[in-house]
Amino acid sequence: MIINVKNVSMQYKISNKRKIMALKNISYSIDEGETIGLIGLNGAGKSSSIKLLTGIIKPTSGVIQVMNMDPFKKRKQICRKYGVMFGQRSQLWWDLPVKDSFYVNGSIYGLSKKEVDRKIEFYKNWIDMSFMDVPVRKLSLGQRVISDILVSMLHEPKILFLDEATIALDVVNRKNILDMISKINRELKTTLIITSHQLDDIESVCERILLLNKGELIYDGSVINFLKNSSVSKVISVQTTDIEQFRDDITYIEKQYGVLSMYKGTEASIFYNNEQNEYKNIANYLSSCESVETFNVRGITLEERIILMEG
Amino acid sequence: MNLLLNICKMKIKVSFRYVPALVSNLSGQILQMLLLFFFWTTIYHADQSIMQYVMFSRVVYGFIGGNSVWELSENLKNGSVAVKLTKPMDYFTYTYVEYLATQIANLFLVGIPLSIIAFFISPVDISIIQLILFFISLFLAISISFAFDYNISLVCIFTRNTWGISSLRDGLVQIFSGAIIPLAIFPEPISNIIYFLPFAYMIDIPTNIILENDGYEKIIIQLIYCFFMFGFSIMNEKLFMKKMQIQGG
Repeated sequence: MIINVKNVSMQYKISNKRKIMALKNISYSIDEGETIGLIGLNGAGKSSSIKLLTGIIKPTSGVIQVMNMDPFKKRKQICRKYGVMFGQRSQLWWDLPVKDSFYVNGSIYGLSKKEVDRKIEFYKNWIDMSFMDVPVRKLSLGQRVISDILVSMLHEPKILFLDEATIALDVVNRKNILDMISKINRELKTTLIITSHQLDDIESVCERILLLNKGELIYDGSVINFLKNSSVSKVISVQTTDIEQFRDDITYIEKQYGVLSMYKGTEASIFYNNEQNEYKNIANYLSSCESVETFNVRGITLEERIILMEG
Repeated sequence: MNLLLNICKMKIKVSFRYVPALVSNLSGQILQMLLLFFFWTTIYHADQSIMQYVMFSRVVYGFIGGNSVWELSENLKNGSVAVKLTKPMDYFTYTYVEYLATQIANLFLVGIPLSIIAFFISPVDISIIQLILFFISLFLAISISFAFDYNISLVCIFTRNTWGISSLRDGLVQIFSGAIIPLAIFPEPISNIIYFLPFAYMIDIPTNIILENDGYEKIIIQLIYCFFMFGFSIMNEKLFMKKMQIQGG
């Protein structure tokens, strides 16, 4: 077991009167080499979990053990064994070529210039690194994220924390980065802990999910089971001209086909199970509704899945 | 040491990427130096020793560089401290190494040009021993200045007002360090109080060493002050880290 979290709570003091609980009595453990997706909506407690596991902040209560050490008390020792990449806080030098940031970060871990160059050569097996001589400010967001992740890998950490690494990236860059992360885990046996609010990212890299909602751990298990156990896999998104008129239709659809629905403004979402072939029948009915302007099918979002889990 | 040299190289490289900023900073420092020169010669008809003090205190001020309170407290306030805390060093040590590297870069980019002008305006004879003592004293002065700024930046977190405190810091340093007014011309009771404060150890002592008014015994006092300030900073850092909250992603 590389990480053990037992009954951990984290409270932030906003003012003398106002306090918020970011994490409520959380417990889980992680084995070496696992790929963990720490998912949840904004404010679920994902980033607080990363900060606690890396020893940046101290939990209000509970015990955290990372490689059998308290990360807050033994932060300097543990830092050598993990790497962190915060999606919203870069560790690169804005005005200088990327390579220079690699050298500075390497020297923090006692690596010589030669050793850093050797590592850069090795990384070239994973991903295109032709931008090493370009100043950071001239890089695309995707290239900057790649550089930030690889800088955190310079000292060959046993655990790699990626906090919202794919935030604001386009599909192509996201795929490249997720492929690279998978290679890191496969080739170096690095334990990966990735936070995201996009389920698709986690699905492609992680084997296990820790789903946080309002500071509570509401699911801890395999990605496959998480997706399989959910009775809903697809959503029909309906744009209406008059939601009031459409309400009767939606009540009928719910009763007739045993599906769930939600509406917001003039838009309604109908959740159904893809395996039961309900789509054709629902689509036929929607086509005959006067208040329906357009409709399309899409995958369920994490936010919707959490709302449905909460009932 | 490798880290210090690497950051130092990076700081110099960054400065050369923004040549207009470098030139305007240097021009500002030279202008202030010339202003003080004309101020003391025209209004106060200052003698040679005061002129030498005024010129070289400006050189030391140029070596030490400006106020780092703003940068340090912003790092703490906007949560950038989180990245530094994932490195195998104390936050204090990490920021100290960065500060030291900035000052070494500053020594080459600003300090040396200012020294040349000061020697041209008020020539002084300097022995090798004096020069060595000066650099030891300068290193201690930079360290005291950092520890002072570091503690102020921690205070800024609680007061939530960096600008006012940072301006106050600038005013106190300029007046009580000898950067504008030679400390020797303050009345004795005030001068005695000033030597209890950290400011004199930032500018006055290195200036007096280069002008041969003081010797190694002042460096020992500076060293004691430096140890005291570092001890105080590390103690404050430990207290701060226990209380610190970095909320959000």
